[in-house]
Amino acid sequence: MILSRKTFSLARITSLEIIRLNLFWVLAAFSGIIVIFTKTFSVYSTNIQINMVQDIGLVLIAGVNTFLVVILVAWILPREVENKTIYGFFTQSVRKVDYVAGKFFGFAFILFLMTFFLSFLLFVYVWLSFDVRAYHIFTVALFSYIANVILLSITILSSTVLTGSVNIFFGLFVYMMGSFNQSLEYLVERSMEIPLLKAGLITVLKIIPDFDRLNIRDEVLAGIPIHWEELWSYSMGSLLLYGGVCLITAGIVFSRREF
Amino acid sequence: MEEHVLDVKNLVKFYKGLGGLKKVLAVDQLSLSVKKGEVYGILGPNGSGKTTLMKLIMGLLFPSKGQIKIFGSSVKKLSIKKRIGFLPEEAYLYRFLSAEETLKFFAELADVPRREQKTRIADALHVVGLFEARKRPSRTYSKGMSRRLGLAQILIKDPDFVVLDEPTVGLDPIGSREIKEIILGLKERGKTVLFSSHLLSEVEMVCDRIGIMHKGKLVLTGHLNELLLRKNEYSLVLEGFDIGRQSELEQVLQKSFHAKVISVNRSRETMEDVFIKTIKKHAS
Ligand SMILES: Nc1ncnc2c1ncn2[C@@H]1O[C@H](COP(=O)(O)OP(=O)(O)O)[C@@H](O)[C@H]1O
Ligand SMILES: [Mg+2]
Repeated sequence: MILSRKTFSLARITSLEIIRLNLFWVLAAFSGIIVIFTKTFSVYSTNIQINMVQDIGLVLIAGVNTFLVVILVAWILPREVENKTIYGFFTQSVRKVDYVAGKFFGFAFILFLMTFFLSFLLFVYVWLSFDVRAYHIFTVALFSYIANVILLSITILSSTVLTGSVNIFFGLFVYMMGSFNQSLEYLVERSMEIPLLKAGLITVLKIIPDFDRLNIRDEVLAGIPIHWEELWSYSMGSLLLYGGVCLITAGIVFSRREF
Repeated sequence: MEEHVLDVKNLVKFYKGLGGLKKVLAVDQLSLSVKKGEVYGILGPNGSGKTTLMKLIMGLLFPSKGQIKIFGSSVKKLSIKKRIGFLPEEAYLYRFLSAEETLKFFAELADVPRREQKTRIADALHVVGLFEARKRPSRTYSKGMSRRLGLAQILIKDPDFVVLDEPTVGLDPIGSREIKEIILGLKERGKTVLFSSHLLSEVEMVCDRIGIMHKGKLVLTGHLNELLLRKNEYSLVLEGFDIGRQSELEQVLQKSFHAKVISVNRSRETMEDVFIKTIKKHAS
C-alpha cells in the first residue's frame, strides 16, 4: 500500500522544509497584500470592480502555487540527490515509492495551505468590500489546485532524472504547453506541413494535461454555465491518471538508478 | 558454522564516463567477508575505491560483476536494510532540522517503536555529545557535530551491522577518539562494524581485521596482530631502572635467557595522548 506511516513522516518533513523557508512566507505575504490592494488598482464601477478583484485574486492564487511547483519543488527535489540527503532514506527500510509519495503529499499539503489561505483571504475581502459572499472563489481555486497537483506529480517524475535548473525549464514548458493546449493543437493542426512532425507534436500535446480545462475562472466570473459533471470527471480522472502514473514511474526510476 | 555478516565475491565496479566512454575501474575483483562481531577496517589512500565499495554494499550503486550478500541475502531487501546502519562520507542530513528532529524523523523511518523513541534519542544524543545542541538547526553545526549526528542516527536504529565511510574525517583528535570509542562500544555490544579510513592510527586502535585497498583491489588482509607483531620480538617496559647499568642488564639477559637486546628507548607518549590530556585538564 502506498500510504504507510513512513510516507506520512516523509510528507511531514517535506512540508516542514518549505514552511521553514523564508521565501514561502514572503510569497504568502506578498500575494496576500496584492489580493487586498487590487481594489485600488481599478477605477471602474462597483460591478466591474467585484469581477476585477476576483479575477486578479484568482489568477494570483493559481499563479503563486504554480510558481511553488515549477520553481521551488523543481529545484528542491533534484538537490536531494545532489546533496546526498537521499542516502539517508534509501539506505533505510524505506521503499522508493514511500519516498516519492511522501514528497508528493508533503508538497501537495503546502499547495493546499497556500491555496486555502489565499482563497479565504480573497473571499473575506470581497465579502467585506462589496457585501457579496462569493463562494465560487473556492470552487475556482479548487480546480486550480487540482491542476497544480497534476503539475506537481509531473515535476516529481522529471526530478528523478533532471538536474535542478533543467527541471525548472521543463516544468515551465509543461505548464505553458498545458495552459495553451487547445490553441496549440489547433495551430499545429492548421499550419504544420510535415505529417510526421505534426503527428509527433499532436501526441505530445495530447500527453500533456489540458490545464486550460481546469481553469474555470473566466466562465465562472462571466456567469457562463459549466458542465460540472464533465469537469469533475475530467479533473478527478486526470489527477488519478497523471498522479498514479507519474508517482509509480518515479518510484521505478529511483529503484533502477544509482546514487 | 560461523555466520558471515558480509560476503563479497569477485566484485567489479566500473564507472561510466560521459556518454559511456572512458570507463573508470573503481573496484577490481574484490572478495571480502566479515564475521559476526568483528570490526573490519578498510585502509587505503584517497581514490582507492573505499567509498565505491561501501556504496555497493549499501545498494546505492549496482555491481558491474560479482555479488554481495549481507546476512546471506541481498541488500535490496528492506528486512536487511533494517539491520544495517550507514554513515556516508559526505554530510547528508537535512540542514533545516535540529538534531532532535533529525533523530525523531530517522527513528520513524527505522521503525523504532514509538514508546522507545524518546529514550533512545536522548541516549544517542548523550553518547555523541550533542545533547546541549539538540534544539539548534543542524545547519549551525560544525563538521564534527554533523558527523556525530550521523552516528547518532545509526545508534537509535540499533542495527546489527554498521558501515561507516571515513567516520573521523575532518574531526579533531578528541572527536576522532570519541568516535573510536563509540565503535568499540558497538563491538562490545556484539555489533559487526565495517569502516574505512585513510588514517593508519585509527585503524590500529579499533580493528580486529584490516584490509588494505589499492586501486580497487584488496592487496593485503589479515588480523591486526598477525600483521603488526614481529616474530620472536618482545618489548619490556621498566620503571625505576638505572640506565647506567644497561650493559649489566644485557649480560644477565644474554647469560640466563639467551636473549639479545635489540634496542633500548625511553618510553614516549603519543602526541594524541598529550593533546587529549591537556585539553581535558583545561576543561575541568
Ligand atoms: N561518480 C563517479 N564517476 C566516475 N568515477 C568515479 C565516481 N566516483 C568515484 N570515481 C572514481 O573511482 C575511484 C574510487 O573512488 P572512491 O571510491 O571515492 O575512493 P576513496 O573513497 O577510496 O577515496 C577514483 O578513481 C574516483 O575518481
Ligand atoms: Mg572515500
